[in-house]
Amino acid sequence: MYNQAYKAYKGLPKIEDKPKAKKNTGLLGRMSAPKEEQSTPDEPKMKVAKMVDAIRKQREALKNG
Amino acid sequence: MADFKDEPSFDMPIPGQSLTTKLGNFPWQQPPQFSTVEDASDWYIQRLTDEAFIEDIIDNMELGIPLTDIANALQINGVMQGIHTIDVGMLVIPVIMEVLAYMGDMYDVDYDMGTELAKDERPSGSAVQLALRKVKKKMEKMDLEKARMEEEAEEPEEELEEMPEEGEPVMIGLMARRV
Repeated sequence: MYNQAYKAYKGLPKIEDKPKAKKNTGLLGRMSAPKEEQSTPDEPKMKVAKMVDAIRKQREALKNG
Repeated sequence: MADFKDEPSFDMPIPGQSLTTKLGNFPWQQPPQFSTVEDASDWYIQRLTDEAFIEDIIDNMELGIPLTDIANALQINGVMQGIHTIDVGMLVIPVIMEVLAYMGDMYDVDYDMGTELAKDERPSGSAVQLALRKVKKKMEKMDLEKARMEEEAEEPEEELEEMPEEGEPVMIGLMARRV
């Protein structure tokens, strides 16, 4: 076989959790949070990666009890 | 693999025969039922979690069939049924694999994900021999070159031409006085 399933699974982009922005509490700190950049719709590959990531997290939670 | 027999078989379709039928006779020649990855993956998740289907899947996993192969077979079947295109099928494969793994964990089955290096991707014995021969040839070439360089280094240096003494600058111009 040509191992297309292996390549499709291994070729998924990695999903990294965005670090939460720290809130400035100083006197000169900005009062309102900066606007988030407008996100463009995900590419199908990215959508799949997110779905796989969500299922994987559930699977790990199931494994760990 | 092609099966070569002694006698020719006349029962097989001739090349190009499939192009003689009317376009759209087969499900995969029709517009797909689901055109997006989300719809196709929802359809697969619903099907895979169906109780009638689970037993077969678990049996296959217990037999040691890698999840990559199961997922691939499922998506090819989906393409043949005209449920989605082959592009969507390729994209959906990881989702199917992950759902299958989830089910395997749920039913406590020791499954093979199929993501390890497959046997056919390992270099064959002949390939290793060929590579070794190439390396040997290269090493021999390098040894020869090294020996040649050493020989050249051992040869005595040619005597240098006599240099004029520093005190008397030699006049070599046209107008220089001859001694």
